[in-house]
Amino acid sequence: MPGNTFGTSLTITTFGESHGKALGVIIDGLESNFQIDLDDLAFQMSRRRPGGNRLGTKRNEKDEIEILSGMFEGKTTGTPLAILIRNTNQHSDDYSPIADFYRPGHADYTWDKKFGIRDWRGGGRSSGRETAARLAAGAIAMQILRKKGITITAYTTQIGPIKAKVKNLEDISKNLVSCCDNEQAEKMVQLIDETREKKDSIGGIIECVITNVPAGLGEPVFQKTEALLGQAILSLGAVKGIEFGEGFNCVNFTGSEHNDPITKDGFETNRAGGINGGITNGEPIIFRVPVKPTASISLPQRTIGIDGKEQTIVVEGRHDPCICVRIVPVIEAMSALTILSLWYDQNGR
Amino acid sequence: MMNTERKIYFLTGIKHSGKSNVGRNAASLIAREMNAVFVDTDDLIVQALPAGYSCIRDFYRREGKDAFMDLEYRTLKQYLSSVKEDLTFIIATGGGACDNTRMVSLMKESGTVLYLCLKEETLLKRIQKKGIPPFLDENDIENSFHTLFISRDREYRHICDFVVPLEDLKSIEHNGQVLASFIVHI
Repeated sequence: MPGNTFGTSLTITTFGESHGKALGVIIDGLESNFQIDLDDLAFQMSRRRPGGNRLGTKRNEKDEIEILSGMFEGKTTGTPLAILIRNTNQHSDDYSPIADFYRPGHADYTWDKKFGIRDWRGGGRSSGRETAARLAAGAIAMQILRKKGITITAYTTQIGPIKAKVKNLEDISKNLVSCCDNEQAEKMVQLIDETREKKDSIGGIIECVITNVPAGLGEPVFQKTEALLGQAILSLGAVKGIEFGEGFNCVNFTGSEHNDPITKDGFETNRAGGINGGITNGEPIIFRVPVKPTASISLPQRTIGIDGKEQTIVVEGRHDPCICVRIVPVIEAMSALTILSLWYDQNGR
Repeated sequence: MMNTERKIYFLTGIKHSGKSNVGRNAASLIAREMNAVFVDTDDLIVQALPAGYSCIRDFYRREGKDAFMDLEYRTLKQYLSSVKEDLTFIIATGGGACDNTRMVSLMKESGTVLYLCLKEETLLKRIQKKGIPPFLDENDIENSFHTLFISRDREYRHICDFVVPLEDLKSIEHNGQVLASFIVHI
């Protein structure tokens, strides 16, 4: 199956390349008669927009969206909703030599091995720019979930070696790195600036909390909530893993310590991260993802050309020294699409 | 190839990161393309030692860290002011250069500071193989080196212009090539 469609009852299909004419998404399976808040949609797009944050890439895209179908008089019609985002600020010249070699850390080599042809301009379809289309779809899913009382909040907990020490969700919107700790965020910003000067990049950890999810979402055995959220989040290029609740730290517990005691008022703890047996248990869903240091760097690197010869390359261009800054809303968007799809699986649209 | 301008690269890093060996190798590779000179500040300091001291360690032990850092700074400053040719200079510095603030400013003003970065385990293995230096606790080498590594790694990442990651298990020649191509392309 070609890998451009995601979801169960609700599906998205994305298309487009970084430096092509446009990117887009078709969302199929949405409920009808939902009033789309276009201002909120534009706001969500601005959170990921290139040039929207001084710590991000210097490429400046307006990321204006056009809804082509599936909406009538501002409301969803229940038919496929198609969204188009035109590329306006491509500078393919910045990247022209990359046609001749494989950039380390990128998908150039593997795409060539798989397809035998690649749109090398800006990384083509393997570029992070593809996520703009998902964000548009996810922002609509998020609006629908919000009406059902479900909220999704992602935030940075670590950049390079600098960790958040407190979890103040009010802080997230108050700093450039969407961190839940304003004080540590300052150090993170400083580190990102310093890393950019050194022509290098760094990674980080994003945590995401989904609250007010009713118990009972998730379809055993292959469409468990963790499995689908895992697929959704791991489909993002820079994400290298995912853990739920205590995650990898669960090995430091015994069963008696790790089990969440149940009382008539609910669960006493939430080490499971809101999911048992692949089905939501009504507690907040909590997961964390490591985001790798951006592959695009301007330092000399060793690689081979498409002719197989070893060479040292320098890729000039407008790079993000830390992609965490812009991936936060995309993680929320992919979570929203997953949870809404599972909601429709359970309750219908 | 003729050099048209003077370029100075300072190699910094924790003890045993290959500043001298890898640096010398890289300089010889670069010299095939353009005129390149390799200088080890340790050699300069040995020449500059006042009479009565048998070696750098002897001077350090008797005169202390501040006196050593002063000597290290003055020696480098004098060498740099004597340099007139438009060549590529690759200058290896001492493992504690990051603590010498005057020398750090001098390096930043005069050229490009490269941090040769290796993994902690690799450096520890080399140290264990080559003899425990006096600044580590011989009863608890792993922990005392860990503390040193964490602070120096942070410091060098901060002061350098660029980090050059070197491979752990590769030969001096291999890492020399990595460093040489880095310097040529940066």
